[in-house]
Amino acid sequence: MIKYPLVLLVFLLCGCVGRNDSFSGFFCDPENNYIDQGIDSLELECLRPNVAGASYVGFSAISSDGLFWADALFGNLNQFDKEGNYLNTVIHYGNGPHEIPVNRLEAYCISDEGHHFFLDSSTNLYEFDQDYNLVNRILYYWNKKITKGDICERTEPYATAWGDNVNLTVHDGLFYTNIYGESDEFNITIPEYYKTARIIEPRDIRTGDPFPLLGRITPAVGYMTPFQKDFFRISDSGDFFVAYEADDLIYVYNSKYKLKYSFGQPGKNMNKDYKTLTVENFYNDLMVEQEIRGRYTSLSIWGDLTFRTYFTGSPDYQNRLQIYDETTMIADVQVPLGFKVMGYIDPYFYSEFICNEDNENLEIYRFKL
Amino acid sequence: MFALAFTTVNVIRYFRSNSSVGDDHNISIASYSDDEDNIDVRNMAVTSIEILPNVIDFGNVVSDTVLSASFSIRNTGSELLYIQRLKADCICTSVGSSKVAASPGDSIVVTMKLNTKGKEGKNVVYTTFMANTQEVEHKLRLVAKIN
Repeated sequence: MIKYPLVLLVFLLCGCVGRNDSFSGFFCDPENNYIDQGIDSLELECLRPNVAGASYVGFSAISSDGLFWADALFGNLNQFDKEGNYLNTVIHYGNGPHEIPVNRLEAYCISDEGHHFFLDSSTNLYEFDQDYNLVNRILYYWNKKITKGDICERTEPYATAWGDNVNLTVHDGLFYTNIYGESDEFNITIPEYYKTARIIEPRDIRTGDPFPLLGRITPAVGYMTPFQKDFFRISDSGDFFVAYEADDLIYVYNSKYKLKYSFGQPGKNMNKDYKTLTVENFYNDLMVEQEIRGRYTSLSIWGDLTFRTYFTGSPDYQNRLQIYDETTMIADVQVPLGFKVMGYIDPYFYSEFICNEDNENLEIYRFKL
Repeated sequence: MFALAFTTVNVIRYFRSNSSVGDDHNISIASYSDDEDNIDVRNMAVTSIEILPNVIDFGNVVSDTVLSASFSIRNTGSELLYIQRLKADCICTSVGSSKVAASPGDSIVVTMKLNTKGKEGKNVVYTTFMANTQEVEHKLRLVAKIN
């Protein structure tokens, strides 16, 4: 009787179609990629949280304690109940034990233990416990010049992906950020970069000590195409879920970053006829490409569910959400601009806070499955 | 005709950020702990302000120029207005104020200067400050699309 589970296990372990190139061990085609679209629309409920005196630039997170929104410019953390009602500003800007001593935040997340982590623009990582006490602060990088050799062979970082694409995740004593090369010798204009660059950097949350860099750029990105960003999430069991702006697939790796499998369906009517950019016309071409081309825009996981958003590009210009139950896609529905799934508080899934700086408001959407 | 000094550095920086903050990691943490004047606006009598404008959009500009934007912070309340912790979020931006206090009806002018050298694309830079107002934190925004 035990023979068949073993056969199945061997099949699953060997299930990925291998590659005999520098991407070997990082990417594979899906073996089982089903569609069972039982959900053709989501009933989205819009909440409008109100925070007095906010900058409307910030980051979201969710835990059993409620919804949290970190104000990136004013350096504070605001707590909301699951109805979106403002409860309290639990961490303020300042130098006290419940305060964060910098008012320009670059990333924020909550760990499995309920600790709150902030990354600032000088690569300081701040850790607050569940009672919002500042319990640790580390400076892990200081504008160090890195060469190609460093990037490939050492565990030093080369640059955290600042701006709108910082992915800060804490899991099992390490914090992870997405990285990319910016040295003169090793960057996106160098063809070799696409074969050897790493994309995720783990570090110890207590000391900041680096661990070996992880991941690769998917071949789907292509040389000097407009959409080079990646997204990753770590499951409770330590599996890495990795997606890319340009790739229809989502890749799953174990806690040692060994490739397990891939899955994913192309978005509907995505315009992915990406142009290869040139250094000379980089910006102008990029702006055009961003207007008309489709790409994936976020990734999140909850239990066996995976959520991925995308923008179709022309001619539909829609923002959509795919939902997967394990590897089977169960929904591909239209969602509002800026919609990204943040997490779950029974019985709702919540979107991240959508900040509208011009109208000075915040919105959250929630839905049931 | 302006010759754009476009290099791979600009390309690299785009993927680093659409924000300007990441352009420099040298912002010292010390610069954020400036209780230079022993005054905490959070402990002062509250007044009200009007910021005109709170966003200045330069539209399309050429690279390698310095953009200067002035914001007026008018004291519309009945108490002395005091501002502190005036900070730009990018080392590419300098910021200064005409004064730090204003009587009722009077104004403080804050000037942001953005050096666009080495920048490309849409840039949004912020200056934040604290004031003895109901909501203590405030921001000023400068936007430019640099070609």
